[in-house]
Amino acid sequence: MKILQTVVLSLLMTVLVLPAARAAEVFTVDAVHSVVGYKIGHNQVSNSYGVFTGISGTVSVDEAEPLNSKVNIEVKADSVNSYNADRDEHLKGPDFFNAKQFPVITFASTSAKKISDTEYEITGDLTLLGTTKSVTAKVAYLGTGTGRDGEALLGLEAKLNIKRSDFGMTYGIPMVGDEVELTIAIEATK
Amino acid sequence: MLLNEVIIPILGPAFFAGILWLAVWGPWRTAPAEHESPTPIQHASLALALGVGLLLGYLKLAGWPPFPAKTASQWLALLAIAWAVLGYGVALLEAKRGPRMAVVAALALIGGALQSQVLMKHTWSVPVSVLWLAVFAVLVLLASEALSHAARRQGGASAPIAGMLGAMGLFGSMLLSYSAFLGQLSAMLVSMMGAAVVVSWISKRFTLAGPGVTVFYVFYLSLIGHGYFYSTLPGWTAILLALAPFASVAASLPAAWPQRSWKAFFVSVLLSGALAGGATYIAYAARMAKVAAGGGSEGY
Repeated sequence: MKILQTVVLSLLMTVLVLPAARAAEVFTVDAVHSVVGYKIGHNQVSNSYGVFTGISGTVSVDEAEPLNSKVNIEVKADSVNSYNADRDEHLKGPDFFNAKQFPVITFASTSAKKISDTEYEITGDLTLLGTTKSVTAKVAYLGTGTGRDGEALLGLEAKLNIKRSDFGMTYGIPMVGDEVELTIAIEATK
Repeated sequence: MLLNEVIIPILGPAFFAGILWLAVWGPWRTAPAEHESPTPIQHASLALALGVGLLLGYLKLAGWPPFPAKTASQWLALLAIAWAVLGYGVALLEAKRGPRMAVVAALALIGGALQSQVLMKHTWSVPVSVLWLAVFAVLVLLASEALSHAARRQGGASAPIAGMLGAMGLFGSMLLSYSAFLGQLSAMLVSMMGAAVVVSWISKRFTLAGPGVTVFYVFYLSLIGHGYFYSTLPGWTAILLALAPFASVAASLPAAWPQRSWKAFFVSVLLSGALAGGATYIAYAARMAKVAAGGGSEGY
């Protein structure tokens, strides 16, 4: 009797859970075609721009319930490129990203809100310098497609503003601005 | 900016230490004459002033560190409290050599482990971690005994000047190695050693020995470690800087030289200055090599 119960329960679980599992498609971030860009004030009169190139992660798309989709991104702190090698060394050091002690910057989404068919607001936990804060990014869904090798493609572009001092990065404020505008451009494949 | 990032955090600790030392060691005190041993409270004031001074400077620059700390420099600020309290206690209780060395070794091992825990967890193998902790603890123990002995033998400004020259080299090397914050912490050591030089000129009894020189060397060695492991301080710069304060020990070796010898004083100053200068030059050369490799555009 107990065996019968177990078999029925297993079949029920299979019927109920599998479609839900199938609904979430997991795309992997393509590091070659993805980047995190930043814009930060300099000397209180202009802006300085740079990128992080060491990006990885996953985008889990729930087609049945898009608001349940998840984004998990990791960025290598020492991949910062400000287009000046001397400055990059300073940015990687203890004054800014402290890349030896905090090698990875992470973002893990926690909720999403639909603005339009192509725009979402995604809230998640951003961890920088060992400090985690909830942030909200405006995400443009750029669409899906097929790559040269037949792989499925997905494009997203997220924008968010943070205050670096919230994460304990206070060096050089206000000559180097506190507010940072981030653009996360993702091409993901499956 | 100059007031909040340079004058108060860097000169503040020196004023604090200088005033405390003058109050305890001042020439108007009726305590021991020049040739007699310092009192326990005088010894205790050395560790207390350096530990609290560093903490005050750190608080002005970066605020209260969280507990548990997240970064090595936050741990250093928290450890400054431990070193100040334990150094004060050990000196006040006039602990014998064995227990004193046990306390110094234990705190050096704990402090070294806390400041390098990220590397110990994610980068280093167990043997490398053990080796680093052993080197750290041995250097601190050596400093606590040998530097103390040299400071007592040479007296006066000799030990503070050797410490100040080493810390100046550390300050310059940190700036050249892309770390202004570690440079600011190094500058606190320079200014506190400067205060010790001034106090030693005012009070002939003042001797930066015992817990004073131990606490100074712990902070100094910790910052060298931060620069090497977490910034880009070159290896040879780190080694020369770690050795610079020991110049006073080398200058104490000739047995023919009497206590408080001018010859020993000059040799100590010249040797520590040469080591610190050499260390800074290596950091400068490394920086220039990086600039050249990156396209030759220095400054930003």
